[in-house]
Amino acid sequence: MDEALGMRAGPLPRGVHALVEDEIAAGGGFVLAHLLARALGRRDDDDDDDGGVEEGGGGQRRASPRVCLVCAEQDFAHHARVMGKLGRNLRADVSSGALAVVDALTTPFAWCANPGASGLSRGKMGGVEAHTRRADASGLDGARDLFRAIARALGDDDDDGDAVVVFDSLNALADGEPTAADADRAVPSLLASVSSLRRGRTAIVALAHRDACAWDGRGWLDAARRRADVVVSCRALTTGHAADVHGHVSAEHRTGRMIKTTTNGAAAPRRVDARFRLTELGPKVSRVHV
Amino acid sequence: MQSSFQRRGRRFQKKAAADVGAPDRGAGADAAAAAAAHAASRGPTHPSPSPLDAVAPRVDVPATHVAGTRPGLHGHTLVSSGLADLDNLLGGGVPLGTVVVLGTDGDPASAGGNACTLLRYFVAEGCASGHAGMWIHPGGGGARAGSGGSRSVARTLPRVVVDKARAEDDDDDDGSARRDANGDANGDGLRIAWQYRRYLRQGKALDDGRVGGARDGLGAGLSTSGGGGSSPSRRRNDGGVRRLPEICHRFDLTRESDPAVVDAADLTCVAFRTLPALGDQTLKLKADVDGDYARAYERCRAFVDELRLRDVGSNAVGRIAIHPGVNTSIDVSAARSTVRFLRALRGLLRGTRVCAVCVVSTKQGGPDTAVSLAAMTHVADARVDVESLPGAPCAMEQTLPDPLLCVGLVRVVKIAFPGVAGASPLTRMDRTYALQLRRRRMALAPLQLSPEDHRHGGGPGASGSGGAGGVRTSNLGAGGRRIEAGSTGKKSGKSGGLCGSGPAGDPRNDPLDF
Repeated sequence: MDEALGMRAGPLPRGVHALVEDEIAAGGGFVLAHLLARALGRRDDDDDDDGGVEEGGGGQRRASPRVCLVCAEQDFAHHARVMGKLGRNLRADVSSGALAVVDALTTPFAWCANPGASGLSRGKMGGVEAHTRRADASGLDGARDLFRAIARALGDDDDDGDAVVVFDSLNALADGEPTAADADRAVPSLLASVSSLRRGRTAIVALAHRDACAWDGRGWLDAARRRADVVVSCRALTTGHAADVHGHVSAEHRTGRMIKTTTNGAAAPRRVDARFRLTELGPKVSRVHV
Repeated sequence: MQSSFQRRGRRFQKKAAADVGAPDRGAGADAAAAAAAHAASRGPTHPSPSPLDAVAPRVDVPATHVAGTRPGLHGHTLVSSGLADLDNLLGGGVPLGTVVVLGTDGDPASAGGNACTLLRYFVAEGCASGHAGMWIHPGGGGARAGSGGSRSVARTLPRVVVDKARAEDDDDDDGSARRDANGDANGDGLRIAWQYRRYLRQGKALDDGRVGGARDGLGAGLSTSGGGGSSPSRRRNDGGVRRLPEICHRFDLTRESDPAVVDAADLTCVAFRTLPALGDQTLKLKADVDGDYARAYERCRAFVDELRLRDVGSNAVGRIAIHPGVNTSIDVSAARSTVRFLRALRGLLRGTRVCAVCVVSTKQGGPDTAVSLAAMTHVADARVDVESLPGAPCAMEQTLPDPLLCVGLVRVVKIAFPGVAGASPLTRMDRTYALQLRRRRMALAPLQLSPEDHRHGGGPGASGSGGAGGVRTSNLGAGGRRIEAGSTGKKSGKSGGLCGSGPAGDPRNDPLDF
């Protein structure tokens, strides 16, 4: 996939922002799984010889980053199964401490009802109201509490190691806000705050459903797009589905931080189009040469 | 001599027997309740605390078989939706711990739509299988089934057909000439016609295989002549392959459920909207939608908690049927509340042995409605739309099998149950089926689509015969998605010179073009 999308191989560059956009007919979960696998790096049993140190894109060797997976749309069991089929044992990663999980699905938006943060009593809230921030709450409390949860999951902020935060759905975070205007404020603020963790060495990988964003509430998606170094977009075929092609996937390298360096001196394209086909053992991505 | 399927099945059984004893099975979604039971009964299984326990508790898959369930792919435990055809459409049934959305383009508050009929099938199947159930309906009243105001609601469930022979007789209402006028299936008078009909039936099965409706595919067992796969008269030679057990009952839509059965069922019927809210003005009602959803969520949580406590030794299965009756096409805030509720419900049901089916409105009301529908689809694990047929005659009728029996269209929008890494079964083609109302039951049948003829119309707005390998249906939702007739849509009008495509012309009128 990296080759087809013109992305640099190896672990994610520090502080990079990758945004994955998808729609109903062409889910981008496989791109998210691929980037999560890249963030986690090689398995521990593979790098016994180098002590967990990996080779980065520029040839330098650095330690594997600590990864935080924010499960807002799917539970951890789903991610574990999907990654297991792709050859990655997330449970082992959690046990080894390489991966931390913030569960925002089974306890959705529980941070919004944190009495210490928002001043609201959890006991007074019931049902869906307990899982969403009230309109009368002070602004950005939900995003702030989620940020605290992510910071706790990543550990010491003074650590020299890199970190990667993976959001499996930004829409789930935006839907938790009472209004679209609140979502437009909360999501970009959260992304900015998370990227500042570990002295700015935190990379962000986020998935957003493009077709589920309201027309008047696309502010947060536009903001996430402007912040991203690379935007990977999955689109369905306009003619439906075919047996050998399930959809289009394109990578727009906005800053070139994740673009693959060419060896022959040719200018790397900023936008790369490819087709994908999903199988049980992973996606098959083939580049489209125009 | 053992077939490869038998050897593979034996290997699978050995592996399953070995996995039952393994503590870390990885099927957290289906057996978290069992994990709680084991944790309560055995004490701490794993003495050393692990960070994994906080996010993915170790679970044991129950080895005992629960009535009305069967194993599915990807470690799921499936329950029937009450309609065998819909089960086949969903890949075997509804997995526990998931949320399935039934879309309806009719009046969302009406209880007489086809989507509501499918919801009744779901509830009735739970009653027949002995599952615990909760039915949230839009009307008033709220109590256990068989008491108080919900008695009439629970009585509207279809009755279970016990007699198989009678069910066979009921199913044989599709005009088939299985019996002649004297009731003799082997009568000489219609033997030729009978043989010819059998030939046609085989050809129809071939067409089903072309659209992926083969018996091992997504649409496996989809009835073109009615009935589920358990019909003895339709039993085929499967080469010694043992099939999964049938878990779907047969129901008679023309008869209401037996009161004794309703009283004995573990079914709780509650109203989504409280009675004072029914007479409120629009502005107040708009604010009450959140409260209604909050109350519905609380009831669902109480139901799941009760089932979890009861589940210590029985591995009980629960079903939640929700018909809020909220019109999300005109109220954006209500649509947003619906999305929020579905998301909360999804998080609630994950890791439990409860599944939910929710009816939502898919009536198009503007760009905001499409966005809300997309958000609902993303939140749900599967979405199946039930659309009504246009009143006026149109080209769509040419594609309907037995048009006089068809009452609507069923379109599968999304199937993405948790744990599936590869492609959704829908990635090969869009799925639109005809919803037929047989004499006593409903059935799904594939559309009779013909290959494309570019010379006729050709434009995207053409109806009757449209784009690559299919027709364009004007009433099939936003975007005007195409329906493919073939598995890949490769058989297009450009293949006029290929072998088997026949001479150029309308392929439907060409007897050589099969």
